[in-house]
Amino acid sequence: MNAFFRHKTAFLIALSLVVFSQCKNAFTPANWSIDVLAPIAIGNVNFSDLVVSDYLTSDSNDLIHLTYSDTIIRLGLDTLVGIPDTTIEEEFVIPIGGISFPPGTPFYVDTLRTKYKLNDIRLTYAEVRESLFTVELENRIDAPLLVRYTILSATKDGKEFVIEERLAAKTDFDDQFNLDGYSLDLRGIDQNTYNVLNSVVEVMIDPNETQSHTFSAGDRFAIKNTFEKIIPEYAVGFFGSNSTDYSDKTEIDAFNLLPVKAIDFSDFDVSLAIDNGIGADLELTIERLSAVNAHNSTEAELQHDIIGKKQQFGRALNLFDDQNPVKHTQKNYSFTQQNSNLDALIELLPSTIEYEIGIKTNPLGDISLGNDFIYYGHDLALMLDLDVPLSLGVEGLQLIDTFDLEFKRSDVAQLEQLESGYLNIYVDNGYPFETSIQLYMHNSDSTILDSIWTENTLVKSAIANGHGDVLESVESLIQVPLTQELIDRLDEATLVSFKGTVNTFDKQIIHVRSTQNLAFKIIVDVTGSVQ
Amino acid sequence: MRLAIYILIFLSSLAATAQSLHENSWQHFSSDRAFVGTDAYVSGASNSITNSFAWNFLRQPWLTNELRNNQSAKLTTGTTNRSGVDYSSSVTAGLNLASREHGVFLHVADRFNAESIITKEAFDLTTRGNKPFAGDTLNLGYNMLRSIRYQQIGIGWTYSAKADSRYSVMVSYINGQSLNFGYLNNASLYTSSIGDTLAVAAAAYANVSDTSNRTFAASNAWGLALDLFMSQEIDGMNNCWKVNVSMTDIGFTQWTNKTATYLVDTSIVFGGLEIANLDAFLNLDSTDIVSDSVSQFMDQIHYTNQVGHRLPGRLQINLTQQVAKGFYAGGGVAFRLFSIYRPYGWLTGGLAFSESFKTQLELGYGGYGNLQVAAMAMFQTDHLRAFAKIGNLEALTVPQHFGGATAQIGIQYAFGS
Repeated sequence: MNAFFRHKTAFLIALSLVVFSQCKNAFTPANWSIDVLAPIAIGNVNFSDLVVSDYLTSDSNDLIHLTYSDTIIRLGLDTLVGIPDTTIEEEFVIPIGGISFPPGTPFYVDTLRTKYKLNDIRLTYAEVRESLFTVELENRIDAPLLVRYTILSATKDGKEFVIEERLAAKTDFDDQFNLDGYSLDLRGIDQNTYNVLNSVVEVMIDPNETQSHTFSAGDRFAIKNTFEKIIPEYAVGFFGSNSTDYSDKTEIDAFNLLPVKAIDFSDFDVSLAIDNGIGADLELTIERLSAVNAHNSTEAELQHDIIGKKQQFGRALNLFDDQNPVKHTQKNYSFTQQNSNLDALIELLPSTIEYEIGIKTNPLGDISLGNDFIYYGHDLALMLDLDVPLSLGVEGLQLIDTFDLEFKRSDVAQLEQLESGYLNIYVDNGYPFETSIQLYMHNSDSTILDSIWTENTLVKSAIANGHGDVLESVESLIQVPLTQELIDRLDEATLVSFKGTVNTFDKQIIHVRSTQNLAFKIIVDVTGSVQ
Repeated sequence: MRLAIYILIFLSSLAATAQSLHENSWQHFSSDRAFVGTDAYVSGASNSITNSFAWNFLRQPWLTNELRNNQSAKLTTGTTNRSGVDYSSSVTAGLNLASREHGVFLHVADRFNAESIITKEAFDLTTRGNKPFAGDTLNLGYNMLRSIRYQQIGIGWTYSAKADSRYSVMVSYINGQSLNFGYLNNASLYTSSIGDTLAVAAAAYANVSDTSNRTFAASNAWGLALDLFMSQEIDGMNNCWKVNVSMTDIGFTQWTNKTATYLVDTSIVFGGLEIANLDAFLNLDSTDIVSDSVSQFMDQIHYTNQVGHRLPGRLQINLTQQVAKGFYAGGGVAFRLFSIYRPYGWLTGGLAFSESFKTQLELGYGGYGNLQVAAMAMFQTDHLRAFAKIGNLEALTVPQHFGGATAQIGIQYAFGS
């Protein structure tokens, strides 16, 4: 039945022929002429269909706005206060034999002091968000051991981080742990230093043993632990006074689907917010910010007072509130046609924003006395807010819809002879501009086979008032003779696309509203003989 | 001049009953002798489809606008546009029993009946397309088509105690060869003025017997039928009259479980297929889109099952004045069961040239058609009975206004004395 309905013209003809269908099998019936009128496709194209809908909104006047908000630069805790991976290896070898130790009495105790190399950064306290702690133990002693590993600097609910593992005689052990949620006091045992993690390793004959163990010369025990991927939730200290240059790029997809050759915005509202969520003074310099259209290899650099000028940012305020721990400091920069060339960047329809920035932390030194802080997720960010009401001039704006025409040779093959026929294309134009339209036939690979008619045809503009606001849409009829050649092409095609092309560039500014659309109906009107 | 009158009478009565239902050959022989006989009957009639249209439709290359318009004008919007076709051929052999009051016979027949109701709207849509009705709603309900073909083998018994009366009964096994039945109960088609919207509503029922097994005598159904016949001579109005009462093919068929049943209850408003987004479209299989977008409107049930179907049986009463020579009169009425066939009544006038040769003219009304005229000639001796009929003379002579054609021939031979 689906196949039956794939061909609507066939459906009509079949419906009308049903009465005589039995006779057809028994005799050779006469031919006669019928007139068939049937819709084969409808479409409704509007501007919102063309761009990812998240970026299009309409205001109270139905005027469509292109709104885009994204963080184009983000420098966070891992960038400024990255704690490197650290590995500690210890080995204990019994130099001489004949030494006995009772069970439960440590024969090896060592306090380990790990000093992180963080350049000028001096961390005194951190809370761990994520971490990976790997422990490898090697027992070459002919007795079961108990190994106790205590990180003195790591506490949670007042308790230190402790690992106790029993190793059978002459066996190895390795496992992974984490310090997630632990607080790290990095001031050392005497609490007078920084970046230091203290731990203790104790090794003893398994207390469950009943007899003392006599060591042999060369008996060996080894430990290796590695701190990896430590991501603090919160860190305190002095973050140094360093200058760092960053350059990177950010993909931007708001303009990718905007099918215009060129666009001329008449109005826009763009702001750049620089937001500092870090508890340290910063000096920021945007050396370069440019928009790049990778599709046509065009690029434009931003020209604005902000470029190349050092911007001083005071530190964020630590509120010590679990729900809202940081009060950010923020600066906003407005971009207009008068103070920038940002419209040139937007009209480039960029696919990428490229930037080069320099950041200097604590340009005035350690004025917080080691109380710089940073919370996870509270970063230094450059956020772009773009709101462009679509009052614009465009060149080659293409309103495209693609549909299954549902017109197959077998449909008209039921007509013994096509006497005359038309594709009647009704276009209801709700836009206040004339639109050049065309229909293209595609094969299954979406390759264009041919156009349905040879020349672009203009459909009339909607009736508009003096401000360009549409009062009433206007319907136009385009009649295309249905020739055998066209039928053959349509039979070969699997897709047909409707393309309306708008050119108002340098001529008029149009207001694109959500209530406007370009609607079309394609109706087959044929006269043919059937049997 | 006399010869001319005889010729005229002969020609005008050279045929049979028009839509009076044909009588099997075994109905014409008594029980006292063995006999063999065969007959063939073809009849089509319509109160709405003219011969002119049917002929051009079936045998000419092109239906002109004039033909279609004339035919359309003959049709009505209701259920009264009847058409029907019957075909029958049979062979019968009978034996008398020792008492000669009783006889038995074997009857083998191949039968076909088709009938249809075609409304004016359906005809116009078929022959003109939907464009002439743009802006209107066509009511396409009440169209019906049924055809059934079956073979029967029957064993009968005839009792004839007296020369002026005879009673027969036959029980037949029916082999159903094919069945097609479709009924468009409620249906409408709306075409908007520019053709951008089609609204179709249809409620239909159909049965189709196994389409893979349609050769002659293919066995797709079994059934039973009962035939009863009574012939009695009576006196009245100073004349002798023969009354024949027959009930033929009173029975049923049971079609196999390969018989398809279709139930359709559909309401579709179609304005063309809409695919809004190119990317979404390219990521989908177009077949899915089409099937999804249309199937949601469809409510169709299709299954195969056993189907019972009653035979279009016949009841007929025929009264004929018995004369050895000269003019005679008669009449009758025929009914058909489970059929759109309307009661058919007729009057006959005949001329018996001798005891062996008669001609008869019939004027009737009803059946599948309206007014119908038929003629018959019959030759009967002690051993041989032969007859030929031509019906629907009105349609053959005025094909622009009437529809139908009927022909029957038969011959029987009785053995012994």
